[in-house]
Amino acid sequence: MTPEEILLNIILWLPALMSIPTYYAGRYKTSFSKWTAVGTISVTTVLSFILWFRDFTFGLPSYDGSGFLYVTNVNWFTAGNLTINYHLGVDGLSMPLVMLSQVVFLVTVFSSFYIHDKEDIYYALYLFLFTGLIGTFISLDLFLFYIFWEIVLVPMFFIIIMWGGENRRYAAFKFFIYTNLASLVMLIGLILMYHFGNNTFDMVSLKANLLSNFNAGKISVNELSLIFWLVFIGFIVKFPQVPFHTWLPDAHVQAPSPGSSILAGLLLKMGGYGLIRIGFWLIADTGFFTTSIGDTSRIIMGVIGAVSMIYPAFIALRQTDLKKMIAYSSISHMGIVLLGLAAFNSLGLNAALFMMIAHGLISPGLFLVAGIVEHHTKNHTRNMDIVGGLGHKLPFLTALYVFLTFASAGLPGLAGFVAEFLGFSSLFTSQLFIQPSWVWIPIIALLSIIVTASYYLWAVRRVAFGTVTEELENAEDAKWWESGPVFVLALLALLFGVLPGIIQKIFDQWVKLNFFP
Amino acid sequence: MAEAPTTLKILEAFTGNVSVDNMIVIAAWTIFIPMLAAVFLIFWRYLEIYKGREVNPKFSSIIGVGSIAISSGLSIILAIQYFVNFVSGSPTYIHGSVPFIVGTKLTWELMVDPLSILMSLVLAVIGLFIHIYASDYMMHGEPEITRFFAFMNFFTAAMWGFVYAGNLITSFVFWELLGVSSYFLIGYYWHKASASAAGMKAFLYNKVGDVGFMVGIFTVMRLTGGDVSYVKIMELVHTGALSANDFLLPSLLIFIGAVGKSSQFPLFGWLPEAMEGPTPVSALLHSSTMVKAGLFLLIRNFMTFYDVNNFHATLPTVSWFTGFYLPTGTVITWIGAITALLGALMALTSTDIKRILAFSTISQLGYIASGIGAGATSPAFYHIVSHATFKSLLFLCAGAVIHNLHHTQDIREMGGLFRHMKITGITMGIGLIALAGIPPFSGFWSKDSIILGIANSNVEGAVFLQWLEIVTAFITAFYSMRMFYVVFLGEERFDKEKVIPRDSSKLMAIPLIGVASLVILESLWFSIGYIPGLESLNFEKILGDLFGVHPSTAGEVEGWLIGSLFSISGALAALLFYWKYPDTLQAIRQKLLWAEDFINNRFYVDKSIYGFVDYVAMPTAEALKTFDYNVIDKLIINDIVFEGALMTAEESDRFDQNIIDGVVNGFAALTRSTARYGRRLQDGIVRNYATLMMVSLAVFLIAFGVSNQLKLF
Repeated sequence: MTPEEILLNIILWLPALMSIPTYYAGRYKTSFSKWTAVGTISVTTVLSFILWFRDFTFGLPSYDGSGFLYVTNVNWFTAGNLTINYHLGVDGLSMPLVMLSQVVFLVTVFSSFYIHDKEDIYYALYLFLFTGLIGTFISLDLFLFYIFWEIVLVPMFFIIIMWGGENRRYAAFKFFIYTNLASLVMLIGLILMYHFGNNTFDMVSLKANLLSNFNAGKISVNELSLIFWLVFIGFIVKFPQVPFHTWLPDAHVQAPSPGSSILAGLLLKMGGYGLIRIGFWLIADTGFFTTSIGDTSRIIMGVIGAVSMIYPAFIALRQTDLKKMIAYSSISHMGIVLLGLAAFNSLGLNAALFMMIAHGLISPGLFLVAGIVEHHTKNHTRNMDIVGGLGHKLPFLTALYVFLTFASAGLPGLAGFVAEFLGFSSLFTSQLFIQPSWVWIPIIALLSIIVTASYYLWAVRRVAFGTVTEELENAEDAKWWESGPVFVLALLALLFGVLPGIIQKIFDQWVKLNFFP
Repeated sequence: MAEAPTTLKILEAFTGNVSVDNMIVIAAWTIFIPMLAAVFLIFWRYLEIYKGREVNPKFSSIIGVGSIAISSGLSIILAIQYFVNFVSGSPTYIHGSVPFIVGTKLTWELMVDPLSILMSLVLAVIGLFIHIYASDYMMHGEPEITRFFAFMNFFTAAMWGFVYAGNLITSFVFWELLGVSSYFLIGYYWHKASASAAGMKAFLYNKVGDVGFMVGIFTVMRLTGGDVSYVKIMELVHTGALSANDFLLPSLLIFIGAVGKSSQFPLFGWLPEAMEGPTPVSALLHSSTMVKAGLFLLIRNFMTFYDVNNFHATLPTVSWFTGFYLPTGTVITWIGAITALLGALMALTSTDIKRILAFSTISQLGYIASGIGAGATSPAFYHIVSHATFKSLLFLCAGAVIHNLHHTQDIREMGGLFRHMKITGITMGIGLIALAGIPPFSGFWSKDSIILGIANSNVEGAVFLQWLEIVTAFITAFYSMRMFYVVFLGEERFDKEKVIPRDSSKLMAIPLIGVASLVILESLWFSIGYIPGLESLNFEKILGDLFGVHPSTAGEVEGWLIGSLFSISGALAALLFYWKYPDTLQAIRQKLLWAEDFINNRFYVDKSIYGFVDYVAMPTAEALKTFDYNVIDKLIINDIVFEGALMTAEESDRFDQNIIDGVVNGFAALTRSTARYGRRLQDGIVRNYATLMMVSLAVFLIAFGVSNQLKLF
């Protein structure tokens, strides 16, 4: 094994291994567990940045023959003619998401400092969750992928149910059952893939096998379409897109704010990642998406994406709970990912990938702000009708809040804009969505920009501006570990807004290598 | 082309090719310096707050004014460099870019050409004067001066960026930054509900336009294969790869952007509200930044999309029925002319000194837009220059008046101020005469050249529009002189016990006198050019040469005669009515109360938009919310899917126990565990649900085992 491969394995397993010492450290002295967690995440962050600076920062990464880097591929177990490999590796799709996970976990571990109840379990679960997430992004075997995919649910479920808000039990169960049912649908798709791909779960060989079987006429377009739609439904629930979105407002609102940040920043990205990796990357070589059935699929995706942009935006307009509004805005923004995929051109895929990063930085920041507002009000409320004049009491945090609001509303110079602009330009330059019968799809999606700006600015006007209301009268200024994480996320949103090329060159290369040479 | 500087070499390592010329670097610093100053001020402010102190206002005003002074100097240096090196018949375009979005042709691109240089000079002079004025104006008890200067700098920097932008995407970025900085400046008194509402209104109205602009960019990208650089588009147009007809839709869409930003009908409602900001903000916003950005964009795009020299030749060849072209130009001209008239009428009935100026801005912007629509781009820019000067002067004067009357803005509570505030009175008089279009002041020449441009164009209804704008000029002169009389002459209606009007301090008087002398100099320069034999000094001709646009001057002299007749009679009528026959005026007003009411309600345009929001958009949102909560979430997901799953589980559990009881196999065990899981959903023992993952795995293993062994598929 090369040192880089070892590093990748350490990044993956260290947090899970450390979750046990973290728990016992917390039993010994409560505050120990939080510093163990900080230490562990810091170590993995440093390690990931070593990899990042080594291969992804200067120039472009050079992948091996299968298109990956740092590949670990050993046989895990064989049962009958089923061979499961422990196959890990990163490419231009997964590495930025790994880095995103590092950043989001590093900042949310600090904003978890307000938790004083059962800290030991919290940080143990937290580290365990991290391994699950990274594993989802870097496993190259569908079996392994599925295991990590399911593992993520468990700690998240407990985080919601143990540290959540009033209605946490309902929200946690809903989240768990909903996403689990979706996983089962996805599983059928995966099994079909296994069947049609010469009985292998290995993604790299599956991709080649599906292509050769398709060319040999062993798979029809209809069968591909069936596979695609099964995995699509599986992933779209995680995305989530209308009409499978209703778990999200509940889960996000009830989860503790670091949990909401991880949900919005990373768990939604699992859906995006899965759809791109399994729904697109594995089968796009066959040319499925340019067949007439593929066109129909893209139209349906476009409709779902456009509806998912404007419909939650309108619902967000009528929210009084700040966190719930941000939750609905998350659904709305993830619509760009689906629309970019539906456009299925170079711009669109770039948009989808970049939106995952942009949204993964901005929405956790906003959720953290909502959490801080909650902790500083007298009755621990986020009701925008009774919380006002935040700027008088928490000036710096208010500035960050307004900044992130504009970042999320797609202000140029900040990360959200790049994704939004790429996404819409991909639709307007695709041959499919510019046809007179379908041009209403991008137009509807585009109109959501105005609605988005409306609900965000209205919220800012109510929460941040105006005179101090009773709820905030005795509020203290935010602490360093409260505003610090938000500040880091805001800075990154600015960096990727001005120089998106830093990360987007990797996406662009990946899209060129895998889809549109 | 010079080598790229080292700093950019470093950038190259991260993002790829960088190609930048020396002049572009100067342009970039013109933008960066105020922007960096803004960022510095903001961070400095929060650092001081963190230490529990307030930033020294002197310090922030020095940084604020200083950075603008440096940038103004830079833009003058750039202008000198450009004109020394590149004096020739046709404009030279110097452009350079650094990567923005990799893998596309969307880059950060700046361009230096006569249009950007001239606009930048206007901004440099006016912006600097306004900043100096603000450094005194804001010193008297205004809160958070640091934030004020930070956003003023950011605002000016964004405008510089917009002016120097070399492609559509860079233009769009700075366009939006203008929008957001105006949002913060209009809502500067953020603790006041009306101010934050006004900021929000401005931003949202602009956002509507932005969507149009964005789609406009996409349509251009479709035409050019993703290239949005102005120079590249110009090349495509000049080589004939793209014709004027191709750009009809893009320019119409981009005009929607200008409608929002430059407050044309029907999106003019935000501009009067924008008066909630401090007066220097209004001065900057109305003269050379925000509202001019929309018109600048129109000029920029018209000069890019269309072969300007053949503009008039191509205009008449396409009719309403065969192409889009005529509607595009005609729509812009009509909307501009309508805006000009409506703005003038609103200024006529308003009694708030700042709102009168705001309405007159709307009206003048309408003039400029109509000129651009008719293809008269150089007259339009001519008027941009003269309007920027006299409008900033008027705002500075209005600010001085308001300042000295302790923040009274109602002109009915003023009157007779002239003998107390001589400097303000004289300078404001100069500004108002220029606005009224009294010859030989600057406003007269530029306004007349626009009207002439429309008359000589082939837009639908050119003759009607020409006369409409001449009548509007009459109204303009009338309201200008009305304002002067009511504020400075007549009886003193202000509260003499509280207020002692006097001229402002030196720091505020310097910009007043400075900008007033600019107006005078401009007027002189403009006038001299029309003296036979001195044509080479004619500013309009110089502009035309620089832009490569040569509008026809047929009927120029008749235009001047008619124009001066109308504006002088308008001005005299106002003075006569208010001075000698106030009773007659009152009687006329009584008869026209319905009209006044209609005008004061802003023609119900804003009310209709609000009505749409209140009675269409919000109920839709509410209905969708109800639908989402009660139908999708509650009915479908909870009641049907989850309850259904629960019932199935209960049933299968019963079936399992009653019928297949005793038959122990993997399938039954699975069913039972599912059933148990379902039954316990209600009592919520958390532990058991962690096993669900295991169940899923079991399903997975069994499923593939079965499929594999039995060859099901």
